[in-house]
Amino acid sequence: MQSPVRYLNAGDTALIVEFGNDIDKALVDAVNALREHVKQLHKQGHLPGLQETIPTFRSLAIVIDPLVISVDEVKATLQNHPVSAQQNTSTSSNAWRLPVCYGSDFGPDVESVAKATHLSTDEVIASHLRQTYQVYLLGFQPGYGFLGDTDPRLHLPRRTEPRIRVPAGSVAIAMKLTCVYPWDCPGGWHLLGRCPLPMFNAQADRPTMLSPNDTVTFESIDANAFNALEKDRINGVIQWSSWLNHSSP
Amino acid sequence: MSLVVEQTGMFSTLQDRGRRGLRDLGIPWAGVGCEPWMRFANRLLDQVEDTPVIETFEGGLTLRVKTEPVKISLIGDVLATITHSDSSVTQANAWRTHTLVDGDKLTIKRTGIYRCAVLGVQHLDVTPHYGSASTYLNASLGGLNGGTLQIGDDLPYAEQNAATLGEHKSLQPFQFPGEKNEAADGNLTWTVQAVPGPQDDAFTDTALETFFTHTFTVTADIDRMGARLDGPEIKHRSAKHKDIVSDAILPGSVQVPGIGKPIVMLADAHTVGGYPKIATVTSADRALFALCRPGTKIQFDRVNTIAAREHTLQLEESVQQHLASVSPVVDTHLNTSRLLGLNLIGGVTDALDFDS
Repeated sequence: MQSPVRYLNAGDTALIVEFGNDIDKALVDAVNALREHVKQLHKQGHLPGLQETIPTFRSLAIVIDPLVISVDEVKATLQNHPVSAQQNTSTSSNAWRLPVCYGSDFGPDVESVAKATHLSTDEVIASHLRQTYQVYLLGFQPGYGFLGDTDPRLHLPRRTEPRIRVPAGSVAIAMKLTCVYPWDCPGGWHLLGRCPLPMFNAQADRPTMLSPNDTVTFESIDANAFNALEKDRINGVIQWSSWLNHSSP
Repeated sequence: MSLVVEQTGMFSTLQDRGRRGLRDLGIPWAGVGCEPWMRFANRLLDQVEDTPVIETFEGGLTLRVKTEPVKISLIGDVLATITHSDSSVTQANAWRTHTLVDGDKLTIKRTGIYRCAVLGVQHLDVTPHYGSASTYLNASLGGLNGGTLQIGDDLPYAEQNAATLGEHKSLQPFQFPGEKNEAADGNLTWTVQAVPGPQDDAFTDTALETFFTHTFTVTADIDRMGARLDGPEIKHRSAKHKDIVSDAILPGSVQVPGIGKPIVMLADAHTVGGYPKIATVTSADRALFALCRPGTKIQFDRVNTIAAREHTLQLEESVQQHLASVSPVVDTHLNTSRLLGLNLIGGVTDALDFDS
């Protein structure tokens, strides 16, 4: 099913290792396995000059300092030290639960999504709540996580008319993905609800709540709970760590 | 003691080497567009090469010294003046240091043949934000408050070394290998080395040929995030090759959206995107896009990864040599004895005396 790995050139500062050309959990998992592998190789001293790695749906970008190492050396190192089948990818990932107030003004597209998917509005919300999502990548904006896969019944193309302004916190779906907008911005996804937690906080130890390969579940809250949490957010008293999903005893 | 912003200029920010290692969280590097210039500015001031500097586009920036004297350096094709508290004006040449005293106002009037200039400040005291003082506006990171310099902003600096305050250093202007600043018709053509890929296979063979043989003009649509170029249409292999499932973007990536006009991504480039990238500018030549003005013609030279790295290593060697060529200047304006005479350094300082 998986096409062979391709090494693509990105100048003298990066090597792109491409696994496919699709949005597919299997590809994302392969990308993350390689990412962990590259980190290990670096720790073992095989990849001097490694600066950072950027996972995407389809590929891993391996960014290097060209004064220290060449992309051709990186390629050779990867070919001499292939990823082992039992590579552990989920050692450091967090599991988050994100509160969402669905429908009404918070999620103005619930009804149009219901219509397009031939589901009831309750079924749309229930199917969005049912999945455990994986953070496939962060990008587009700082802290903007692309999460997948959504329930196949919710798979829809982007809206034909993108909105000029989507409010920060909006929880939206498009294609087989869902997201929480960290910032007010234009956007073409279908808005189902809003999460009152900040996705980005420039005062936190790490500025984004989500990291690649984290998992996310959503839980439904009512408008009162939303307003209370939003107040907390404005007062800067929300601790991301309180929203880690500790496995039940 | 600080430099107070009296006029902001068109766009002025604090930048250092950039905020590395956070692209996986969607956070761009930011950082100074022309890294060698930052290194020259700081070397002239005998300080760590990636101490934050002020990057300012076009003219207009005016800074006023509040209280203690400060040494600064100017890099670029800059026309700058210092207005003293007695209203006398002296010219401040670029590629050297200057000492400014209480009440002096430094104005960058023009940035000459380049789009920007770099201003180094000795012992500039800015707190790094996630490892860097570089300003990234979209997420309010770095700088003073995550934004551009604003009128009234205070740029604090630590105490200067009084013994060397009157001593100045200079450099010859540095020219990048791709820069050719003479053109009969006034339209400069700069040469930039680029490696095909990562998505060169999304384009027709003719398009690739066109990209590397024709010149492209830098449009007015250029900022710290990217430069849109105009030129012959770069055709995708088919309609479905116009968009890809999102892939990493780096400074230097040359994206080609559906309309077939390339965009060179720069320091503030976002981290992922869905346009295929026909080529990647070598890290050595990225700096040229921080300097070029709209109207500059760009010729992309096709190189492989080995030649690209060789080019970068060569530039580093030239920059190192240039850094080593810093030499003292004999200053007629403000030397140590004049500063001593003004009672500004050493000995007993009488503020009242200076005020009169």
